[in-house]
Amino acid sequence: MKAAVVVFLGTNCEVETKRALEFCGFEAEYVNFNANNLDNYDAVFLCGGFSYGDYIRSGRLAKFTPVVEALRKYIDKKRGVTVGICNGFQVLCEAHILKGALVENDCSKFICKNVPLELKFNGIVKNISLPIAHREGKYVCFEDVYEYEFLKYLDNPNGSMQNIAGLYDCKNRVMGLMPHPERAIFARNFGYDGKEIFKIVEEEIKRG
Amino acid sequence: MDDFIKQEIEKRLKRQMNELERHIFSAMWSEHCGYLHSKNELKKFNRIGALFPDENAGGVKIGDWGVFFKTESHNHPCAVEPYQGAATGIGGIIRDILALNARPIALLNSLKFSFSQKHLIEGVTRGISDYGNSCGIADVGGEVIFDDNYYDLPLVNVMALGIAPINEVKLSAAKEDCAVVLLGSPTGLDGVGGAAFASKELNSNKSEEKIHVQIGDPFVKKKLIEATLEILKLEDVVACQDCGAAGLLSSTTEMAYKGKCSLELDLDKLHLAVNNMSAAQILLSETQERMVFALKKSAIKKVFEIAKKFELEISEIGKTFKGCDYVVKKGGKILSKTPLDVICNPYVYNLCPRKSKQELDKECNGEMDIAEAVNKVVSNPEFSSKRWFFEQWDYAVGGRTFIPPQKAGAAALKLFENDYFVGVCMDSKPRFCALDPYLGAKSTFLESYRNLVSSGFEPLGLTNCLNFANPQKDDVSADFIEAVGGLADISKEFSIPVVSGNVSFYNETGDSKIYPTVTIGMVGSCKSEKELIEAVFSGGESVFLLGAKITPDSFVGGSLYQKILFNFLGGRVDDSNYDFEIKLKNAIFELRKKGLLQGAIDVSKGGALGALLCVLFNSDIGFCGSLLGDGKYTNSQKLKMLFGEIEGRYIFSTKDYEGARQYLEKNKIPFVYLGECVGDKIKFDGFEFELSELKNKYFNSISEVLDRV
Amino acid sequence: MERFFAKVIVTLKNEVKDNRALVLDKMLKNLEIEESASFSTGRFYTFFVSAADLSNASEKINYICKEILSNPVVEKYEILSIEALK
Repeated sequence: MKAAVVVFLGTNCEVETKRALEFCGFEAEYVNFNANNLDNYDAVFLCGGFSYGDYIRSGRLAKFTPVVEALRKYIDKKRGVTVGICNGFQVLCEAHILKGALVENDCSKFICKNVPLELKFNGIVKNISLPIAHREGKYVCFEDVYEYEFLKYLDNPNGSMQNIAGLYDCKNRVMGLMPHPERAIFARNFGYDGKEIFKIVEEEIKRG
Repeated sequence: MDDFIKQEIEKRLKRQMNELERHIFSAMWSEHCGYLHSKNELKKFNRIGALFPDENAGGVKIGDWGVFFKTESHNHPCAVEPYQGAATGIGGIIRDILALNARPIALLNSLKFSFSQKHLIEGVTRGISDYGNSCGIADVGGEVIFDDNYYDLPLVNVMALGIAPINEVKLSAAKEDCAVVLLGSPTGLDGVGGAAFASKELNSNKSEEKIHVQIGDPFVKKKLIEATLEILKLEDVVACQDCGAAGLLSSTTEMAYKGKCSLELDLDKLHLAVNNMSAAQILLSETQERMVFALKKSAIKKVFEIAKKFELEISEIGKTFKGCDYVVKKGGKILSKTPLDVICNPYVYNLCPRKSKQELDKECNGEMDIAEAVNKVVSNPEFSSKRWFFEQWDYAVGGRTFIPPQKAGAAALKLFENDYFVGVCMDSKPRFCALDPYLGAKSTFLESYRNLVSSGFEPLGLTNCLNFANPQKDDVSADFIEAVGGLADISKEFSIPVVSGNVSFYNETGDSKIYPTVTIGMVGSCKSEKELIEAVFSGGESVFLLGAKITPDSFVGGSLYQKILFNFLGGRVDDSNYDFEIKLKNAIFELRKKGLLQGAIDVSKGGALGALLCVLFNSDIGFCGSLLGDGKYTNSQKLKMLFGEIEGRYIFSTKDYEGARQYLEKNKIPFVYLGECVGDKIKFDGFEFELSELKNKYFNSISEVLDRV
Repeated sequence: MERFFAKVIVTLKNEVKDNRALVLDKMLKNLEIEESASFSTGRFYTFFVSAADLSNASEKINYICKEILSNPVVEKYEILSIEALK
């Protein structure tokens, strides 16, 4: 399994995302924002950070880069699985690849902490815990996204509609989530539940 | 610039200064850049074992890597513009680390406010949050102290820590025949004269001061970090300096002076943010997000390509050559040619103050019902949980954080590069230093030391930030000398080097001045995750107090409970004992190794009861036992024994009561068995509290005030 | 080509809760300055465009607002003015 870790100017979680991927059995490499082909990869990760300083809006400016154009083609031809984590989720929403948008948390503050979550995938529901770290993580959408819900807050920290923490568009194999699975792999204090997310990505790659 | 200094400069120059040179000297001979009042004192610090203590930041060796760290104050800017002040403080300290070719991996903050100044607290916190989080450097903790002494004089001390293989470190000394290159944001008018601003007392009319505050841009900073680290990999890049206080002037003069060569700047070559800037403005601008490099001609093309890749501006602004002068050119004319040893070697004062001896004999004899006292201490903002602060800071970015803030005395970061763990903490004890600067400084050192030990780390080195009022006043300079002396003595005694530091004077306004405030950042290491210790106890574990026994005769001056309960500051400060501290450290590490220690915390704020309560709240477990033993005590003695702060104490928990007791007895280590972790109530010496009730106060007292609209 | 100067504000759509605005409302009420202020908050932009005429300029400005300055899922924009420069 080969994964691309996309690096925009201002991305800052690429190192730990790559480290986590490798730990979970992926082969991972960085891909620059001006790359125009992603067909080489079984999975594409847009990771956390502040792409383009998050100026105007979180994730807004990244959508104009060549790599996001390449990503649209990658998704259209169903080449592999796309995962947007935190800022990556914001990028996917701003580019309208996933439905909805992420706006400022109800408390107007940055929140960094571990949160309990409900993971629902392939009919199996389990409770996990993952760290969040964002100021604009409140999920808002005025369409029905019930079919895409796969990760929900058990104790909503930011005011997200329907407690949504993450979406999975099974048909296009596009996943977006605000919590950071790559931070919950190695250290006891952050738990090890990040592996659950990477396991799902692996299953989805194999499903084809 | 006063007449004395002016004469001194002209004597050394053997001529009069021109206008540009007056600007150059007023910056380079300011307290902020030149350390005029502190340089002689700072020589006393122990540097043995430090890596590169004369560079932008020094470090210690962990495995084959260098861990570099430094603190910096941004007190004055934060007083007038808390948001930008804090943000650019973070920005500045990151560049100090970066200049060594070290990747910054952690930030810490030591903040002091008056709790009534909500706008300062919010502004500073948000500034750190917006800037630090965007740069992608984990903000792993530090401390927040509230005291009305800091009303209008907030202290914002920031610390950054970075890592580099020791053989890849780049120094700041240029060589002859290099090109000088400036990378980053275009130079503008922001922060012109900031160094001089930081070297005087605050003006009461703050709006006038705002022009001196720089504006930070974390997105450019993130790009600057990546670009700089790529540039410094090139062999032909000789030296690097960040543009901090006194901007381009101080970075280029230091670079040339250290490299024993001449340096010529052509100010027409700079990329500028506004037209028509004067030579002095260009040299002194403190525009953020800029780095200066000296490189061999062969590297210029490569360096420009890297800048382009990161969409950063760059210009070649000068050159170095044989000689010892600093030459400034603009409009084709030489505006100044000055010997570097005059610019970079300012006049240094010898402090020889007379001090009026303080009243230390007063004792705190206040009385208060114990239950009321416990509730007051727990809900006091200085004692209570600081999660309102650290949850706004991304303490986990980078994926290295293994112990997050407030889970233990120190934060833990993993060096995936060599599998070591770095422990880091930041502490200060201003009220102790106010009573006795010498012992207060020692006590601050020990607080950091025990924070590291109780988290499983061997302490290796420290950095400091010395915040004082106007050093030209006798009692201030006396305090300063004593505090430096205390820190110097104890760092020698413990063989822990001072690797870097910073001095901030003139923290006063009108007739109020701050307590002498010594902030220490200390770094330690351990070899595996198994060695990390957290301040977490579990049900069924036995709790021991390790170390010195507090008695009604102990010296507890400066203790937090006296301030909270009686608004009292007085009495004598406890002294330290080197052998005893080492013995306790060894005991902690031995107990851990034998599996006889589950969780631990050092005893500081709030004394033995305060330490115990913190752990119980974090662990969500009750307690049953005794802290006072069998003796008969008066109410004020009881308060002292429960909450009093003396040196040399830890609390730890064990699953093996018998094993721990036997080990301690056999090795003659003083201890007291306190009780057991059990249930959902906290019971000791006939008092009983609901865990959930106290815990709620502990975790929410700050947010209840600060989040109120 | 002529030059045009645009002033634009971007605000949250009515159905999206504007937290900053709610805080301001509450604050003004608590301070007894204004009982119901009904704030709304947003971002203000000014910029220049080159275009053949006003209608082309307007088209270009609308495009910039929609594609770059706002996210139509949660935000709306209003062009306050377009000024032709002499």
